[in-house]
Amino acid sequence: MHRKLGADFGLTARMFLALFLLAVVYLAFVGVLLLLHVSIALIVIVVAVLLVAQFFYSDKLVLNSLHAHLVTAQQQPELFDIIGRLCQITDMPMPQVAVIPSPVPNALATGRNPKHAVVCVTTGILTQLEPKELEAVLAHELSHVIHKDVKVMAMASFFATVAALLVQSGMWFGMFGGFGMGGGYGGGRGRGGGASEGQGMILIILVAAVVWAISFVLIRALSRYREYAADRGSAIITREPAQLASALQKISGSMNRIPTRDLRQVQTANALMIFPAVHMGKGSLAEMFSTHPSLDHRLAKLRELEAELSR
Amino acid sequence: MGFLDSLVGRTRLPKPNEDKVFAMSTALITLQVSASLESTGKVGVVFKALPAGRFDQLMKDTVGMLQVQDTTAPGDALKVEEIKDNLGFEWMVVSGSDFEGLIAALHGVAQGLIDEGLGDCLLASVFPFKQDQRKVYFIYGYKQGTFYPFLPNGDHLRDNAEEMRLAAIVKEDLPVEPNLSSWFPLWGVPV
Repeated sequence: MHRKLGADFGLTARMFLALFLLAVVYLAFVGVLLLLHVSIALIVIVVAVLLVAQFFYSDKLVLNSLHAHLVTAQQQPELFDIIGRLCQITDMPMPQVAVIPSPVPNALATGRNPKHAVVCVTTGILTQLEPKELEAVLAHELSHVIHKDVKVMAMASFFATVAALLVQSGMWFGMFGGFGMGGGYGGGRGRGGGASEGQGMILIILVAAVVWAISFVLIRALSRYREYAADRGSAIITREPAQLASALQKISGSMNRIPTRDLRQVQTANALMIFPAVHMGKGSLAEMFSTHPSLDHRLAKLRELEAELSR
Repeated sequence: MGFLDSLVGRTRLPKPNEDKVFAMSTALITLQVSASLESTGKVGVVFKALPAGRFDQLMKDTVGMLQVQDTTAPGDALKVEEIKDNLGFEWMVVSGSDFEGLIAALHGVAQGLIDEGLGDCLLASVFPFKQDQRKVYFIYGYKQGTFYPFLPNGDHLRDNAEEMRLAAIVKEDLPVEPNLSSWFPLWGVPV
């Protein structure tokens, strides 16, 4: 009897913890704002509109910013065959497929749900990987789609974006001294003159800055957990984690050889990539602020999965 | 995919739906009468192959089981062919004169994989037919539990009009895949 990879309880627990802590930070943030009688309705609306727009146009935004173009089955027959079979075996609709003309080997998936998903690969990855390795990478990307990562990350970063905007616009208004008027905050209601209102605003900006900083670390942690989850998804779909490990090694190897000028072009969509295009230093502190786990950690995890399947 | 699954990023492969494949035996008559399709005496089942060592014994047992299956009628013995394609998928192509026997063979292969805990790996089974000079395929997707026609027409092109017509003809006999975007092609099918 062959083994099946089930849920990773450690990973699930950490994911819940990150989400729970984010919720705590966000609730505290909203609580403090209510306590100080600050209305941030306008900022919340602005951020909501921004995120909803980003959410609905995530596929087009990414395609445009990366100069990716959609391709047809006639243009990329093998790529379509691999993705088609993965979709059939996972029972999901065929995503749109796009290619980025870049020698840097990388891949990403975006779109708000499986029906509007786009899977994107660079020409570099098509030439450098064997079909089975490419299949493992594409299974990783489809796992991001199956897990609805765009949706989860958009929701998780909602109040962090509010806090960030609050800090930024607060500083901007602070420089001009006028907090109560014209700005994004409905003013400190029930408060007295300009001086105390100014102090209140400084407090709010401090609180928002703390919320921003903490949620930044938590969101990055969540992003790394989702990478592990997509790696596991790839192993569940292909049953060959070693192929993904081999692909990651190849990708990271040529990453370090390619000049940074080339890498900068793909920086915007870093969080969505199978491997971060921006080189990350070794050491746990750097990893804490990174969207992706380090290569060593991912390879170690994939080796565990391979051992589990071969048992 | 439940809400909780996507919240914690868990991939679950759908369970294979194996028994609807038998619907093909009744659809055959409709296809013969209304679309002048004739069986080629072959069927194929395609599934994801595992790396060497994790798979070999099962494949040996499966081939053995299929060859034993028809000892009662020696003239009708099934022939089994194992083919590995360039995408790393394994094909079992079974040939024999009795259509019911072929479907039973497909059932045997699928059930063997499911019993081994490898039901996840099942992709599709393929029924090739002759229509005049060309080949017409009906594909059964195990994860969807539905059939759809596949009519290759040149290099990565399909005869969509005839596919739609065939789907309409058999819709009483077969569970036809309602979602057209899930009519996945199998280019270069070795059946």
